[in-house]
Amino acid sequence: MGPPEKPPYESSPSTAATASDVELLRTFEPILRFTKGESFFPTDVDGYLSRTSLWVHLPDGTEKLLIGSGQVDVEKLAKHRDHPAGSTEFLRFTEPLSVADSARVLTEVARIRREAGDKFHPGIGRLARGGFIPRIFDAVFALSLLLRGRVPHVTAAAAKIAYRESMLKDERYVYYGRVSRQAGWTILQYWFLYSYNNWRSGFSGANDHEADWENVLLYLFEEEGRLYLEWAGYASHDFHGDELRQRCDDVEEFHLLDGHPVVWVGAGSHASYFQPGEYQAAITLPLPHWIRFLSRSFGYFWTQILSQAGGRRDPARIPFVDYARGDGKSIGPGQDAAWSPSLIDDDTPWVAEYPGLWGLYARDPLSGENAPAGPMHNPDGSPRRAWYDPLGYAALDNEPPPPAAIEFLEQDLSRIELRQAELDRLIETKVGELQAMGVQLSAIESNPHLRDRHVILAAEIDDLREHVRSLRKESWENVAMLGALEDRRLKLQQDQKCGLRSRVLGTIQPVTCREIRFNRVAEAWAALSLSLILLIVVGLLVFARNYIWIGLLIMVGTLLFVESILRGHYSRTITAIAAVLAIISAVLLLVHFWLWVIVALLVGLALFLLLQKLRELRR
Amino acid sequence: MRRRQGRVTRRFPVAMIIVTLILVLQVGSYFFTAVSSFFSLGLVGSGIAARFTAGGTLTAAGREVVVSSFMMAFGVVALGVLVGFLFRRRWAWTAGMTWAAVSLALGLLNHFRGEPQYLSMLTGVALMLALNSAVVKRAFYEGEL
Repeated sequence: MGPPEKPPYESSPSTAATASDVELLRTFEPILRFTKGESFFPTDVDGYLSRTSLWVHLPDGTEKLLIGSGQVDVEKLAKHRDHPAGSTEFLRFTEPLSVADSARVLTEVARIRREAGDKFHPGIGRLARGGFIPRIFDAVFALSLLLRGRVPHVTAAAAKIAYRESMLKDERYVYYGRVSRQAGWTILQYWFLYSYNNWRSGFSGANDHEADWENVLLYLFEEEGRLYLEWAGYASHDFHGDELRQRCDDVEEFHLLDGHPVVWVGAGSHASYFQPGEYQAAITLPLPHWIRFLSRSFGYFWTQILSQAGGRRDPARIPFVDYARGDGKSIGPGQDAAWSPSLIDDDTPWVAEYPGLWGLYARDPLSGENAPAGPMHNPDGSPRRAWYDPLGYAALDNEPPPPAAIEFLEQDLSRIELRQAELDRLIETKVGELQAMGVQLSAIESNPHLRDRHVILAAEIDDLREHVRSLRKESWENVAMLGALEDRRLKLQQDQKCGLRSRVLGTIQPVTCREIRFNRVAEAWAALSLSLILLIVVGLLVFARNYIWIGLLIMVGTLLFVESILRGHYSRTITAIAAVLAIISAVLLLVHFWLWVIVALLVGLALFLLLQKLRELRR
Repeated sequence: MRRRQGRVTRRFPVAMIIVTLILVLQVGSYFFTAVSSFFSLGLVGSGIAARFTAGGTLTAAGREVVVSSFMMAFGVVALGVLVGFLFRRRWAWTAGMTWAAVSLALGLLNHFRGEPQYLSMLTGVALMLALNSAVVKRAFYEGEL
């Protein structure tokens, strides 16, 4: 299949509307660019399932084996099984390993990595990416993994070996394509199954889990027998709506190579991005509402009432870096490897009939370490929005295909023009009635015996006047509406679409090197600081318990000072310290001089009022 | 006299005037304390006297000289900050904020030691609020807020 044709008048890639679903998918199939060091690539369902076992997690906390390892296939997976309510079916890609097996697996992975020579280098400053407080939260988050369910570290190594073995047997890169048609759009969905997400263990990210389903959506419209690519939506972490879409004629943000969309894939996380780079993903800790309320209230008081600068950062935000450099393997037409497509739809049994998880259920209450469900389902078994509402998923449900937009505009224009003509007639009639009533009112004004009639007529005039006013207002608004719609229609007829990013509010952007890179000293400091704090606290407790408070104060001050110098945030840190000290001082002053503060306020108020009145007197 | 053509005058926000006044007062206060001590000790009039040290340690007068010298040094630093502030140098803003933080910390320390200096605390609070006001920060960090 060759690249899609490009008509001379249109920059968007297109193909014949009569193309079959597979031809459509092949024409626009994306190019996936991975980061050097990536271990898992889109794989096929059959090969993946052949290495798994099927389990069920029952509400009483026990787990039961349903189908043993090596016996799972798409038919067995899609078969219905009865379980008590609250049960979760899940697959296991790797089995629990003994200590000896774990050691063997880790050694084997280290050997493979050495041989492959595509070691991932995070770059200097990765550890220093977060400030001091986020780093403490980061440590708490890391420690919480001991309490939360998590995928063991060795599982990633075992998954790497299993995936490598399956690739040696049958090297294929598969996408599962679905073509759906909604509201005039033809939507191409490319679903990718990865055996494992090793973002945490491989790239210092937030989570690891077995199996990973990611998707890329392309939105096409039809005009004169051809389908044109208009929008693209790339799934990325928990982003949704217009955060994950771009219009295809935005050459700065959206990259096409011979008519194929280019996707930069996050290392380990497999999130999809429109641009190469390093992305600052973040997890916001679920703090209690009252803490958030206090934090917001203080921020408002600080910035709005006291007109102070700053107050925009959320300390409970733990930053993680998602590396989507695109310097590794590239899969797609004309790249290192080609795609093996496979068509799926609502009737594909393993898609529709298996709502369970595609990998280990790690019992993580935050869900980050649990495996995802398939393309059609969420982990809780509910339908996945990207499947049943692909337009709403990328906030395109209010966006008509361009040819339909002109039709909608023309319908609106004729409806408003009709109403406008009706309004003109109505206004003329009503104004005539109003004038006649006005004449009648002045005629009976000086006749006391017609007083009751005068009151009724005056009220009727008021009502009619209000009615005419509302008609005139509607007419005026219609004129403005007609102007705007006409202007839009002209632009659309001249093939001018609305501003490229006017409908895209919060697209994810990579962070700049300046934001993420720090020198080696800052990196070393970031790595050592938390442990150093704990050791100093231990030292104070053991050797200088009498000076514990002053010691802690000096330690915190010194750490903050060093941290701020190394991260280039001295001004911000000293401002924060001064602000805290100022607040304490202000409270002490208020407590000590509360009477004088009230006196000063009252005197000030009196003087202000006096000045106001004196000014009025002088006028 | 005619104003020179092409000269650009920059408006001074009220908060900046407050900061300037506080800095001027502090510079004046430090210099006054230092110089008046030097005069009262006869240091300026009759040169350096041997009575400031006795047996290898400082006498009461000697200690006062040391304190006054520190005051003089603070005064010089404050004067430097004031000049930088008037020329809207970023380092002057940072130095001013550091100054405010140190002043507030010392004020609190004295308060908890039972020797409160409320005027110093009040000046520290005012200096911090004025320096961190959005209008003053914008004047020093234009385009970064």
